[in-house]
Amino acid sequence: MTTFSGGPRDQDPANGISSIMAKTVADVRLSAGLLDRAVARNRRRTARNRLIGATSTVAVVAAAAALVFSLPGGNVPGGTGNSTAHQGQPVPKMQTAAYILAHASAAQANSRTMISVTHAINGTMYTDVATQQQRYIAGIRASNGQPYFEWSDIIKDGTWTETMVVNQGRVYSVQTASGSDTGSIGAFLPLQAQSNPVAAFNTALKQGLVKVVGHQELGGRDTVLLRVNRGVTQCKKAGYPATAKGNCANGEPASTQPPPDGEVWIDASTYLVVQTKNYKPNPTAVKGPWLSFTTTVNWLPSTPANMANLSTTPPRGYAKIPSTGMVKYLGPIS
Amino acid sequence: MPVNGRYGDLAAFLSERGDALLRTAVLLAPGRESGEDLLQEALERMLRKWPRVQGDPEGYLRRIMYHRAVDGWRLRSRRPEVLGLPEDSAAFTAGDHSDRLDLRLVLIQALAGLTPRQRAAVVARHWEQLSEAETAAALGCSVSAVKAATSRGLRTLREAIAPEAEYLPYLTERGNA
Repeated sequence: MTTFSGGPRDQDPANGISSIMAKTVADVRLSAGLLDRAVARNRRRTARNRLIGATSTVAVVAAAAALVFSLPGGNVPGGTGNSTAHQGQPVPKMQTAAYILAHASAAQANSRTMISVTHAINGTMYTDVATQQQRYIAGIRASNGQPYFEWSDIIKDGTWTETMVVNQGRVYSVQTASGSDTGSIGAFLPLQAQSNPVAAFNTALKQGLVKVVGHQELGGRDTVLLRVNRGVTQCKKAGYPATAKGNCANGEPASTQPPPDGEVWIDASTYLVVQTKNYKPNPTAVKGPWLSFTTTVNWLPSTPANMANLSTTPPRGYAKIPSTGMVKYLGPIS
Repeated sequence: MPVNGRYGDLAAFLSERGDALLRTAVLLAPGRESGEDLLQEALERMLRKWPRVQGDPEGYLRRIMYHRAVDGWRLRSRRPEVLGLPEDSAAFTAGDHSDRLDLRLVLIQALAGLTPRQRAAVVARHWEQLSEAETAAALGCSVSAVKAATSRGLRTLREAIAPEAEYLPYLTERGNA
């Protein structure tokens, strides 16, 4: 085996390696767009968590819940069995677990050809499930009555393009990146990306995360209400949610005060999620330890007309600025 | 998302320290593209807690990078990275041993052959010049673990670099010129 033998200034092998390291990275310079991309990804993550993340999580669990929705009328062992909405109505078929699972799976599969429109107090998100193309319109209004800001992500030919328009400041920015930068967007329905979604659903069921409450009318629509334990435990310090397994993110042990169960309403005929209600730790804890967030979900076919809703076009007269400059205009609401 | 003023501070901080951070990330990842990904992910994670970050963000950012480098931040598969030549590669290739002097590539490949902890320990000790105790704190392990990882990592690096090491003086002199 050849032994290491550096030059006169590199008799110490470690010093030699230090020298090579220095030469290796001497020409490395930070690209201008790195911070932009980190900010954009963080913004997408935040928006997704607020508007879609909860929906997607519970949507999958909703499918899981379908597995236990095995008795006519929606009764389930261990559940509340409140199925009064359907009492006295004919049950067209025995709703066995297999029957429900088949429909829930089909609903998920079909959602890949659809556009989801989620509405929450923060704003509205359009998502083409198949391509993950998105458009977000803020709920807060600018002084002229228009949405304070909106943005859209388009992924085409391996290139990700984000267009952001801030109506309040009459500015917009466009930034692009390689397709690899879009990896964090992920699938709209997390368990749908599993190699065996059914097994994943069964795992969720075995963990006891879901209870089927029964049928409930929601805006004139027949839905099935589920209660979902998301496995989050309140921590002593507000704003630090913990996993069900143990400690808080800040290392402190979790308190015993659990959050209220999340609620999910799925359409009784299509099995698609139509509304969710979830709870997050209240950073200020002025109104209690938990804040509730309700999100409604509509589903649209991916027609050209509906796909047009996913694009953002800067209005004429708006100034184009670098994406890093957007924070100046978003700062007050970010 | 951070508020305007704090975000502006971050941009200013990166303009000053971004190159140094990226160089560390390139060695930790290892590779240029992987290093950018690692630094970008560390930035993204820091942004999540930016309002609560107190004091100098560099230490916080470096700690995230080291932790992510060690705990397998890149679980998703990616194609092997092809490292570009250094900017002054033309000068290198003018020498007699032009086909063997890309120690940069050799080092990146050698670093990739280490375990994540060995790589992080070697980078911390011999690039960042951290003490063993500081390295242990950065990696979240014991000093003895740092010693073992550094020793094994250096041994592996020596074996990988040895075939090219006779050209090291040439490279070093050119670099210092």
